[in-house]
Amino acid sequence: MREITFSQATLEAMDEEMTRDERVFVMGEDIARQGGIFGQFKGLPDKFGKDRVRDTPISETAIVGAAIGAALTGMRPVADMHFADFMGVCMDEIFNQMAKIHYMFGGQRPVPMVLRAPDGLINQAAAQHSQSIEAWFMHIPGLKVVIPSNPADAKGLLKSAIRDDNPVIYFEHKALFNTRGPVPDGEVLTPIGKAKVVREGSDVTLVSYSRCMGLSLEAADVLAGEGISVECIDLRSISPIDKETLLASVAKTTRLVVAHEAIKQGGVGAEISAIVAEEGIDFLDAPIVRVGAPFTPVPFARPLEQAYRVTPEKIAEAVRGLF
Amino acid sequence: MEQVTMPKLGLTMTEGTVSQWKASPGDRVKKDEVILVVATDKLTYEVVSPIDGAVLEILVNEGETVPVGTVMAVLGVEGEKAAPLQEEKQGPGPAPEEPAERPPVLTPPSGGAGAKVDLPEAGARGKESAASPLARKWARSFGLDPASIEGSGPGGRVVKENVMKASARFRATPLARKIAREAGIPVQEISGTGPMGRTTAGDVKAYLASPPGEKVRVSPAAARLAKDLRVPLEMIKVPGRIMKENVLRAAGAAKGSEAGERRVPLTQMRKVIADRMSFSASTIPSVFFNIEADFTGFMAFRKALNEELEGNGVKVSFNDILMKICARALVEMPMANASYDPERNEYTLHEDINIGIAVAVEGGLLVPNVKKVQEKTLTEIAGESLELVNKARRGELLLEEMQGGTFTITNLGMFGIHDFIPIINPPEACILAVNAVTERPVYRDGQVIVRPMSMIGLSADHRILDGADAARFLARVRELVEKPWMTLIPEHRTDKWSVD
Repeated sequence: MREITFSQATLEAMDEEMTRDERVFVMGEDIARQGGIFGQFKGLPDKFGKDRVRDTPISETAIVGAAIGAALTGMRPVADMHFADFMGVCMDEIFNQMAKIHYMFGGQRPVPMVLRAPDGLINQAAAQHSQSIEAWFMHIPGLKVVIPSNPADAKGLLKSAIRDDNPVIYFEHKALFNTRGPVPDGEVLTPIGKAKVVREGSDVTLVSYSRCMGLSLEAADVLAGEGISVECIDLRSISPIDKETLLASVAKTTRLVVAHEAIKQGGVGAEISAIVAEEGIDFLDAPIVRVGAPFTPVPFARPLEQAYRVTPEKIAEAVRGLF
Repeated sequence: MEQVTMPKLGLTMTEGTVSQWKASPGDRVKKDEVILVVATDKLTYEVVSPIDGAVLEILVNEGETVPVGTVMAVLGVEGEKAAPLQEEKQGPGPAPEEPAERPPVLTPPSGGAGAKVDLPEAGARGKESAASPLARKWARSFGLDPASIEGSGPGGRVVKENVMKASARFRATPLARKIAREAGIPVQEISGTGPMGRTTAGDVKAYLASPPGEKVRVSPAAARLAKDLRVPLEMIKVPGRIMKENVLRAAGAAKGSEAGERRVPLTQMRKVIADRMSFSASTIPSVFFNIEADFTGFMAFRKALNEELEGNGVKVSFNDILMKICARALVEMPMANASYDPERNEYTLHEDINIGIAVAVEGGLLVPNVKKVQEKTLTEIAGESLELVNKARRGELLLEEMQGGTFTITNLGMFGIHDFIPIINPPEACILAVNAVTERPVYRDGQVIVRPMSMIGLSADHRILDGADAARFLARVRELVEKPWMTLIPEHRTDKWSVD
């Protein structure tokens, strides 16, 4: 199978969906002129014109507000947040408008739109440009939240998000943009709300997503050498969350570790742990363990940033503690 | 210097209790002289001195339970000073609630050799105050008695960490709890091997798969009290560790309060017998046969052998010859040397013939078995079974000497019993009942003569052996009883009676 980068995969998704449906357009800061800071929009303005690939002023409130309006009038906008960290600016648009309009107006109009939100740690980007804030949004009904870990799902989830009639937040990890992976030719659609067992194992279920998924697989390799068979699940969607895959795996392995780059406290891991504790406590033969960042802003200094991040070693160590 | 360590007395033994010291620090000892008595759940064993010398140091108190391999005493030349122990942790896995290292509890009195010292019950008294307030608070929340916990703080003070360690028995995974709940076992009764001493599903499964007769876990204070009050610890049935208050309650119960009645709690041995016999009687469809045998040839055979062996220190007993006979018949009919497995819808034919002998002992019954009887000579069988019987009576049997039996012989002839129906010892297929041999008139060749006669009985598992199979087996046993010398030659007849 051909291998392309994560960034190219999202570009293909945009290209294909914009070709397929004229109502799809994209707007954000520096996307037309610059092609996006990670090259994820490169070439789109030439192909689709500046009406459908729009540069905006630096106002997340305006971007999301305009996108909501466009969606309500029948368009299918994709709005780029530049950095997920900036979503705080437009939070009212996101959680009071985008997420609730369809519900509050009795389902008269859907809000088919996608917010693309590059997140995560990369190159000492410091406290305001490095965060993983996906957990905030799984607390909001009316939103879907997806978070790919590889190029194939990057493409498949973005296409599914664009075709979905609900507002979808699409988190894409900045450190993944340049990673390569196999992506099938032709139509790639990853179902939203469906996790994937990416590695089968019998001793412990290791749930992860986004950048941390690759780190988890590295840890699983190391652990396999030590005789621990790790089953890795890529969550892919964190809202809705795929309870069935999760519980079925824990029932098989009897142990659960959740690893994510985001802060551990109040993270997605907390929700997963709670689901398993509520619905599958009898499956467990060890305490649930979460691996996440410490409860502190992302530090700027390189050694501190290094100490802050989740690594394959930290994940492996957490798994070892269960045996 | 020589170290005396906790011996491993059986395949499954992981720890043992020092039940009695026969020597004190400073005492002179001879090689092979008994210096202490070790007890496990099943047996007691005398540990002898490996050298001529003196006891320099005793490291484990009476009543204490320590892992196999733990150094219990240091011996050496009289007057020599015990060097500090360097390999404190050599036992395989220290007991979870006890720190592996601890200071010696006794040192030789300065009075020199021969001075007798009463062993102080170290660490048992005064503990109440020697616990930190935080440790006490945690101990209370776990329902633990701080006095029962070994302290590692300054001056042996019990600190929070010690309590947390001791509380390990309260830790069990949800899955472990679920399995234990379904099996009707308090999960605290199962010691954990998981992280933090947590009981895991694996521990519960191992517990369920292990033979009955688990080890008695007891706090040092409780052990001391039980000794003072003469309460056998095996009488006390509690989930987890036996604590002081359990001993007090048991002591009260043992006195018996209701007029004319005394409640006798089952000892571990009685419990095992009760469980196994109930299991046998309620699950094995047994079929019973009797056959009468003329023991004239048998008696003559035995007499001749023993005359031959006179002065050799070996005597072939009635049972030994029966064992030899049974081994021969079992080789010819493997179905009688089988065990039934209802789980897998199959039965196992055992290659080795391990014949158990039921030995009545104080308070119960033990069935040690002679292994591979089919390969042994009569004198080997005689020597081994005598040793097993003696060990059974002294409570010195090793676990493996009681496990792995494939057939059992039970003899009540000494009581004049002439007919009884024995209960099969599961998972074996058959048990042979031996009765008193008595002079009786029999009709032979047109006249009534007197012959030593006896009944031989067989209970057989009908799931493996049908009536005809069992009857053929018993008939063959009778034939060999009447002509025991036939055990010395291979089966030579063509009209083979055995089935395949």
